[in-house]
Amino acid sequence: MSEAIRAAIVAARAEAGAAIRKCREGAAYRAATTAFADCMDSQEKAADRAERLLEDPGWAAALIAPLIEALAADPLFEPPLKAHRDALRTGAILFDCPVASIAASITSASAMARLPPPRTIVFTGRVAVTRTIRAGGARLRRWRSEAIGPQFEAADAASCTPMTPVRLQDGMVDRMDGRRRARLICDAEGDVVTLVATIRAGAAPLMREYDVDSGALLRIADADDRPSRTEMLLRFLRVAGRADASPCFEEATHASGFHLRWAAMREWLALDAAAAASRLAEMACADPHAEVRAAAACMLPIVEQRLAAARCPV
Amino acid sequence: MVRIDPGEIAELGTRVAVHGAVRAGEIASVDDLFEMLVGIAVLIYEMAPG
Repeated sequence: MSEAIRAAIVAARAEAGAAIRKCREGAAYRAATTAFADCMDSQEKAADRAERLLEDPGWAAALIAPLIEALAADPLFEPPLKAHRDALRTGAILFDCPVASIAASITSASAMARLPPPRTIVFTGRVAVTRTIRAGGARLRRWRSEAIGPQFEAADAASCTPMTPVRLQDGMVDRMDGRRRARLICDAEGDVVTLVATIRAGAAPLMREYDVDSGALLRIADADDRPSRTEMLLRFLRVAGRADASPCFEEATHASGFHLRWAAMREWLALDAAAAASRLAEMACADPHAEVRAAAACMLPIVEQRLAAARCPV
Repeated sequence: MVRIDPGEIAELGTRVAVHGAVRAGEIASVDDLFEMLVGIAVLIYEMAPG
């Protein structure tokens, strides 16, 4: 890269602030901020507001107009949008707040025709409102499944069931509850352009991936990053030998996610079984999830025997 | 201090993967996983630079 281009990039960054401010202070951005301002605890209300926002055909264009203007004036201007690109889709997050995020994406019809069709579908656990800007003649394949409750066990999980596909229409706005529904865009003749508002409030704690052909549950993952972070940090504390961090392990054994409660107990037992023993006994009797109770009950005699052996070495 | 080998500790029948491991079809999922791992690595480095 030449020095001149390098200098031009630096200059473009210095100038970018005005365009970004114009976007953030614009009516479209403020409309979205206001729409979600009082929806922190209400998924329904947030989804209603997202629907109303996306029903306005000019909202997204108005939101990004200052950025397009800046880009037209200077091709080195970098819009402040988190972008993502994979073999099938290119997208950017246009708006993000604690209640919802709104992403625009374009799905390539030629890539869709070239790539093998997806073998799995994902129930995201979140409610999403989609505006189809350009339908590209695509079909929407859809599946339904039961929402998961706090006693969810993979072994008892029902399979998902296909629903009748629908044809996407330009300008269509629809709501999907990702706790009970999943979908795939397929058979596009032209590129498909969508705006998707994903609602964070009321989301299920886990997302589930199913096999398209059999409908069987394949994998489960944390839908929220926080339990995963906690689990990794607890593992680090254990590996680092931080027995003084017992209160952190104890607290995490009371987490709302059953898998995090047991993950915390596993790390605690591996670090300091004596400190963990009384909480393990509680979990064996009273943890709300049957699998956690069973795992704790299985470990309890082993831990007691190890502690007794440590107290009275032969 | 009594430590139980992790290999001896019971696991749940329902295994839950880390956030981002299942691709949600949402723009942020894969990037979130990357950012989370980088964040954890930075934290660990700051706590134990050696």
